[in-house]
Formats: sequence, structure tokens, C-alpha cells
Amino acid sequence: MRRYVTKRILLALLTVAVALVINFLLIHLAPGDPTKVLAGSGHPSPEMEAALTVKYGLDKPLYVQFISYVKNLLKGDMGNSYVYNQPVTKLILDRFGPSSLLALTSAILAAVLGTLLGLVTSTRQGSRLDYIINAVSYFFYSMPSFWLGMMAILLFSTALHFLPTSGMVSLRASYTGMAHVLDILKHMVLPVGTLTIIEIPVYLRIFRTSVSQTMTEDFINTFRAVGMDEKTIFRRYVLKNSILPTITVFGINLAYTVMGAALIEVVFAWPGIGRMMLDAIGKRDYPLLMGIYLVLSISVAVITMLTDLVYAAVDPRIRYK
Amino acid sequence: MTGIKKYSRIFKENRALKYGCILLLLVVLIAIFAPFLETYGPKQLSSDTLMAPCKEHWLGTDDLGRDVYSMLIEGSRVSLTVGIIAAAITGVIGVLFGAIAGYFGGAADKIMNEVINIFMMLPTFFLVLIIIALFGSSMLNVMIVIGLTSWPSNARLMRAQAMSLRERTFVKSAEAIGESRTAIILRYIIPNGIFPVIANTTMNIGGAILTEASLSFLGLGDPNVVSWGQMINQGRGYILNGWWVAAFAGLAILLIVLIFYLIGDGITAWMNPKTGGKH
Repeated sequence: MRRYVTKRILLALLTVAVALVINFLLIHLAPGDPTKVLAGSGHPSPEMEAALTVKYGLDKPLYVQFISYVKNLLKGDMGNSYVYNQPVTKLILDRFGPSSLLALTSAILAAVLGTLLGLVTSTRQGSRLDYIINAVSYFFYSMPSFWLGMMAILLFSTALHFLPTSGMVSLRASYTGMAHVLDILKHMVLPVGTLTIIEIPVYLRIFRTSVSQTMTEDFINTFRAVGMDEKTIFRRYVLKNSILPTITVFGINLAYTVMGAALIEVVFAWPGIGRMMLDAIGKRDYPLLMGIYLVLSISVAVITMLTDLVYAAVDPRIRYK
Repeated sequence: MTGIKKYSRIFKENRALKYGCILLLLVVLIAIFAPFLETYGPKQLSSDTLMAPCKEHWLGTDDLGRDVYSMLIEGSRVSLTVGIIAAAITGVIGVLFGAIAGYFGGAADKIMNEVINIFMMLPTFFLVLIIIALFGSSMLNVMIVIGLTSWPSNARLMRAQAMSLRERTFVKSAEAIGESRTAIILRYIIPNGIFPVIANTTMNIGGAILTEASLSFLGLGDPNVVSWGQMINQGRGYILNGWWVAAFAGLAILLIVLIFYLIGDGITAWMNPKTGGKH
């Protein structure tokens, strides 16, 4: 177990290191001078150029530049945003909460609901219900999340008026305490609902595939041969073995959920990282964009590592391999 | 069974593959004959702005008075081109990388496998986004960058195939008669192990189309072409008084991605001996 844990931690560290190298290379490979990328503006002042040159050692050899780049990052300094005129680290930290609230809530909801639907359909394979759920899941699997969000806005602002379609809190009312929490929950319904619906098919499909794979295993046939009843086999043995891939997919899929969440934030004007990213793209604020990429890479690496460790704790076959 | 009969049976039993292929043929024909199907020029401006669907403009007009139906037809070309070329790049890189790692094994494989794992963990979409923001959003850039960042799933599949094929007798005998490693990989490993990669690459086409649409939605689309993602981005501004611009473009994306997922799943089911090709 200890060896496995060390290996997973090393892999996560390596992933973060690769993200760092990619970021560093992009600054230098991008068309134009690195100072322009680092300043985030096409025409940095001579003073700013000089300051950046000293800070990142741009007049020194490439490997020295890389070291000073990493040194600055370790201090928590990801440069300054040109659009907001604030440190990138602070900007991202301020918006990290709302973004993770959206992404994690919908990831967990989708995993639970998707697995439940998978359970319902895989015990009734070939039935009409199975067919309908499957067909519907294909549609949502192929749908752009941001489009579904826009259609939800269309529906709820023209026909159904009981849910807010933008923002995280009602700006005109300043609620406190319980009312504030309820207000946020109300604003969460549409964005979280959209993201969850888009993600459910992923879990549904994984669970179904996993069940049909487990069903063909030899030990299941052995149970059948000794005359165990089909339902008992399913409940006791198939289920336990089929749930495992869902845990892995949860980790990998989180990266996609974060991406989906960023797009959904744009649609619903949710005050998170995704919305800030849109501003950064529009104004070509490179330090901010790169900061967002780094923070996301680190978060995804950490969460994937954690899910893998959970997986190992649940399934002894992994940790002893 | 003779060729045609055999294939007609496959299509009969595999509904996903059948409907996927029929619909794909239709979309490809639409893309090829786009100029004949468009009722207006897709970039032609007019003073009839934001008109609801009517007799003259079947699917309405956008805020610049362009005909939504004609834009949709034109957009099929962008989606198909981006999707197919980007996925083809993931196919080529994934197959070569996976086949080399799986066939050689040992230390090389260990390193290459970790490289695959690391790239699987990096948030691809955001990397694509930064590169496009830095290097410009031409269609060519978008295709290449999506292709260069989405190959790991293919490499993983091909590696598993190569690892099992390498132990098979026909590969061993090729080694025994002294064929070079390059020849073995190209002649025996890749052709015999490529089927799962083909299924996955078909799925990747759908994924690439969605990525292009997402980029366009964020304003990083190629400004010189008409794309469905850009139409949704445009339609976002007046979703309440001109819903048709975004709504139909989204449906078009949904349909084309669905087609590639159906075909991909159909191929997987066809190859799986346990399901007997039915899906």
C-alpha cells in the first residue's frame, strides 16, 4: 500500500511539473516577445519591461529563466492581471469557492444519479425503460452543455418564472443567514441542473458497461452453476465489482466537469473562474489565463490522486499489484 | 457468406451503426452540396434583422440579417472538417505512440505509459484554449491543437493491443525470420490491433466538434468561417428575442456529435464477440 501511495503522489507531482513546463514553453514560443505575454498587454511600458526582465531573469539563459519562473510560482506569485490590475493569485482564490461549489455539487449529483439510472437499466436490460433511458442518455451525451443552459434560460425566463436565471445571489435583496443560503441554493438550481444532466450519461454508460463485463466473469458463472438465484448474485457480487470503475471515472471526469462548469458559468453569469476566463480571453490577459490553467491542473491532479487512493483502499487488487 | 450479404446482416443487427451511417451520409452530402442547398449567401447581410422563422427565411435571420438556415448548411463544412482532421491526428499519434510503447515494453514502455497517464490528467480543454488564445484562432490552428492534445486515449488502447499481440505466434515467427522491428510494428501490430482505435477515433470526432464549438462559444472561433459554435455565441446576446439563432445551431451540433457517437458505439459492439455484433 505504501508503495502505491508514493507512486500516486509522485505521478501527481510530475503532472503538475509538466503543466509548469508547458506553461513556461508557451510563454516563450508564443509569437512576440515573452515580456508581452507576461505583461498581458501588447505594449508594455519600458519600465514594466525592465521590471519583468529582472523578475523572470529574461536576459539569462533559458534554464535560469525556468528556475526563476518556478521560484516566483512557489511564492504564490503568478504575475499580475492586466485587465483587473490585481495579482492573479488573489483573483483566482476569490473565485475558487463559487466555481468549486458548482463543479463539485454537479459532479457528485451526476455520479449518484447516473449510477442509480445505470442500476435501474442494467437490471432490466432489453426492456422498454432500458431502451428509452439509453436513447435519452445518447442525446444528452452529445449535447453542448452551454447550449442546454441557454435553452434552460429561455424556458425559465419566458414560461416558468420561479427560478433565477443568472448570478449567484439576488443583488437587490441583501439576505443574511438562512435566507442567504436559500437564495444561493435557488440560484444554483439551473446551472447545477444543466451540468448534472450533461454528466449523467457518462456515469450511466460506465456502470452499464461495467455490469455487463462483470456478468461474463467466470466466478459469476460458477455461482449460477451451483444454483444461486440470479437476484442474489446481482446484489451480492455483480454490484460490488461493477461500482469500482465509477470511482476512477469520477476523478478523470472531474477535469471535464470543471471545463463544463466554466462554460456554464458564462451562460448563467455565475461569479466564478469561468466567467473571469471569458473576460481574460476577450482582452488577451495571458497571465490570468495561464494562472487559471495552472490552478486547474493542480486541482485536477490532486483530486485524481485522491480518488485513486480511495479506489486502492476499496479494492485490494489494486494496492497489491 | 458473401461480402454484401454479410455487411447487410451487420447493419440489420446493429441499429446504432445503421442509423449512424445513414445520417452521416446525409450530412456529408449536405456539406458537399452546401452551395446548392443554401437559399441565401451564408455571409450575406440584409436589413431584415432578427426575423423569426418564416417563408422567406425558413429558420429566421440573425442580428446582421443573415439567413440562419444557410448559415447552418455552411457550418456543416466547418464541423466536419475540424472533427475529422483533429481526430485523424489523434489517431495517427495515438497509434504510433501506443504501438511502440506496447511492442517494445520494458523501460521505454514504463516511461511512455507514464507520459500517457500524465496527459490524461491534464485539463486538455484549457490547454487548447490558451494555445489558441496565444497563437491565433484560425481553423487550422484549432484542428492541430485539438489533435495534438487529445491522443492519449488512443495511445492507451493501442498499447494494450500491442502488448497482447506481441505474445502471439505470428508475431513471434516474424521475429524469428528476422523481420525488423519497424516492419513488425507496421505490418503486424498496427493492422491487427487498430480496430478499438478506429472506434475511439470516431468518438473523438464528436469530441473534437464539441471542443471547437466550445471554443467558438467563448469567442475563440475562426472569424473567417461560419461555425455553429459561433452562432450560439452570437445568439447568447439575444436569446430572448431571437432564440432561433442559437437554438438551431445547437441542434445541429447535437445531431452531428450524436452521429459519430452512434457509429463509434456501433463499431465497438460489432467487434465485441460477446454481444455478437448486436447493438
